[in-house]
Amino acid sequence: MQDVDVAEVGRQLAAGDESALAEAYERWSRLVYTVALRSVATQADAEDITQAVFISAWRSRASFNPEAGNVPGWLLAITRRRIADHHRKRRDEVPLDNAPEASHETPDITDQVSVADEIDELGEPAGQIIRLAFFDDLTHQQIAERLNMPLGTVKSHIRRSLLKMRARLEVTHAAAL
Amino acid sequence: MQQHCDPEDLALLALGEPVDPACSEHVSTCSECSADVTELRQVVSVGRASGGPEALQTPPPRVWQAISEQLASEPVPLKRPEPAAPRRRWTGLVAAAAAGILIGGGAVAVITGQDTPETVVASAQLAPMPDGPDRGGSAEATLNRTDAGYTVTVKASGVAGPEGFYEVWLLDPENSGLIALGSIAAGEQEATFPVPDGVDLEAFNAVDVSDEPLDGDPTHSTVTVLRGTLET
Repeated sequence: MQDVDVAEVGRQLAAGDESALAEAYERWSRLVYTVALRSVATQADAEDITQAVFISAWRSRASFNPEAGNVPGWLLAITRRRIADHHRKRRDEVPLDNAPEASHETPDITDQVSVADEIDELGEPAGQIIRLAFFDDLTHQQIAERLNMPLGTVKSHIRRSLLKMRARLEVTHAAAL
Repeated sequence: MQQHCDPEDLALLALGEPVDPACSEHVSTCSECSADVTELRQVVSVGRASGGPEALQTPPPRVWQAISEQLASEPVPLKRPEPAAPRRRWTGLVAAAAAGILIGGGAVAVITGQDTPETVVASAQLAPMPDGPDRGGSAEATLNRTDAGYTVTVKASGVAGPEGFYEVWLLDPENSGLIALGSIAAGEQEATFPVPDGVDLEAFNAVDVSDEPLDGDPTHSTVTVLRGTLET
């Protein structure tokens, strides 16, 4: 899916192209669903939220400005609102003292899932280099040996990938405001 | 004092790797470099906690099925008309005007309004849908009774041009029924369309203007730019 131009999906969606919704679902439903799964108690609730997010996205597509925002950030903003609605409804059903403070954990969850999605989008070998650095705790020398690559190449992939993840976090935060 | 660190070394520091001692020393005194490391360290910590792409879960296929079923059941992004507002129905007028020349479905003649005196029996202010595109300007539709039957006139001013072409429909909001009346050319300010004879004008009581792509598909594109309910 990397070759799909994110901005183009946004433009088509705002223009009311139904195939753009299918494209957006294909590309970002894991993002939405994973955030939902980590924020609510049951899989059924997470499925309902995912469904509601894409329905809302379609219905409010005219309010999406493809020049100002990006689709995943916008979908996550809708996801947060749906999750907040869900917890609010739940809170109304239980005594106040037992109310779960789920809203506090949501920003961390969306950050983590956004970064996971960005790593998925890095392409190779950048994605593999970052996985080895993040999850296998290899140094850049070890990664260079393992992948038989020059040290400089590994280092520049690490820097560039971290900057991409940082940019992704920035747009995710911007969309939440 | 050493010049700024190599940006790639700052990334390694953020990952917790040792770097050239001169750089480590520089970072401890340079706010610019240390700010960069701090930001990247946050990225690394979120990234490590994320579990990576393998942690992303795919929703079961039934979720997309439910979405497409729900969207298919609303071919036009319908908003139910407000049920409370007491407005006079004009069924009686329609029934009373059954006399006159019948217009066959296939052989519709363009009624100019000059040849046949017409009476406005209902009108609607057309407005953008809350979740549809807003092309600006204003538009009004009237339902007219003429000797030859009913016509609908749409008057628009200042509405921006369509992506494809604008098509005018009579809409039955309760049942999502649609009857195509005809198209308005870009820039055209007023157009009158004959209403096929026999249409239940009590049910088809709204006028909808859609933006249709030039794809030969005769069904509604679902892109409603203007809509309004006819009221007497």
